[in-house]
Amino acid sequence: MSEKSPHFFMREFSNDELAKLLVTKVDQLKKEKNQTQGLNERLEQHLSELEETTCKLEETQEELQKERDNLEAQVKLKTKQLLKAEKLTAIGELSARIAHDMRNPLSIIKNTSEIIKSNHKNIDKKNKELWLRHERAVYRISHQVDDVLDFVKDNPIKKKPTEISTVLDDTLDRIEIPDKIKINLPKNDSVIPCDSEKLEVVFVNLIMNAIQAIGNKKGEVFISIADEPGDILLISIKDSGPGIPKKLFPKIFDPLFTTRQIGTGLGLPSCKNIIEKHGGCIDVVSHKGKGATFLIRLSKKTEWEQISKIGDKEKLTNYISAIGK
Amino acid sequence: MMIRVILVDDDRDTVEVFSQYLEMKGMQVVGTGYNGLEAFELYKELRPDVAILDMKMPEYDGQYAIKMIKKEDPKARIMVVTGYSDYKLEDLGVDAIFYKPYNVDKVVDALKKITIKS
Repeated sequence: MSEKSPHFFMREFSNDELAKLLVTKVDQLKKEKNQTQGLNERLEQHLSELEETTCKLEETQEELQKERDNLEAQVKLKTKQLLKAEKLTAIGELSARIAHDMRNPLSIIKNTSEIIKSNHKNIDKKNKELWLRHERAVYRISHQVDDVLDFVKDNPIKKKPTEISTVLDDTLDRIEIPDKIKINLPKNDSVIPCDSEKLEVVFVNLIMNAIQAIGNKKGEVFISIADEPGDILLISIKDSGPGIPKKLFPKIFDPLFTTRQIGTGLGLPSCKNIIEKHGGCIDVVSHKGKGATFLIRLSKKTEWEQISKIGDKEKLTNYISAIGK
Repeated sequence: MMIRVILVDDDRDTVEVFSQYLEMKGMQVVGTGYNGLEAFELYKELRPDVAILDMKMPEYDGQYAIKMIKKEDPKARIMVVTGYSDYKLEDLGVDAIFYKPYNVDKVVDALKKITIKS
């Protein structure tokens, strides 16, 4: 009926048309909604990826900072070590000079006393004893001077296959062992390439230290040798003394550190020096009241075998130290 | 026959005492000096059986003396008596090396051994 209605400009839609329109509109809306959802999801994904990347960047930054702090600490440590080494070298040179200059007067003291002695053949017992003391004192200074110069001079070692038992026997010949102390020698033996004279110095030092640690009491020193993987020989020297406090461990191999009145404190550093020249390493283990054990690790391989198998001596020393830890 | 030696060391006390001691032990100290140049001149003049030299001496050291003496007389017998030194003593080609403080009897034995060779 097309009566004149107020809405004449409005087209009358039929229900079908309306429905179609609505459906189209709804479809359109649905599509747009999906699109928007898709966009949202992609946005969220981007956002979370961004978050991840930011996290990783933060982590990397932290790591870099840690590395930088680490390197700073290492540089500080190395600088400290360098300064110490320089100081030691300077002291070493000074000591060498002083020790060297002492040799002339020592000779003179020794010789003049010999001449005087032979000019007075008939001296009484008391004076004879005094001369003996005189000679022993000269002997002591002489050896102290030798110790200092040997330590500073840096003699190269000459390695030859040697039986450890032989070196130990020679060592014990050199030391005076108090009656109250028993020395237990290893039941087995081993042959390793080493400088037997220098190794003897090491054993003399360690065993004498052990004896001094035990002091005037009854005690024992246990020396043992054992094989370790990698063709390494482990030599242990253990005493039944009071032990060494853990806080002193890093210091005991420092030159001139000593807790005793006698001696220059060059014993253990000399030992360390000699063992390291052999390509080995020396460590100490100790518990209060239960004595101290010094552990020497040496390679059983000759230098040729070492080089051809592992690479170079430095690598081997590092390798041995690593095993030892 | 007594062994004739010259003794050179920059420390005068050492030369004095060492000379006395050597003479006590039957050596004949025919000349003494205090540096490498004097060592060379004494050797040329006196031609001893053995030249006993210290190494570290001022101006002209033991190394100088050894070089000059050997140039003059390749068959020269030289004994070095020294404190520790940086010199490579083994390479110098001397007949004996002793470190101070030495044992004089051992020095005398070595002197006798060296001179027997000639």
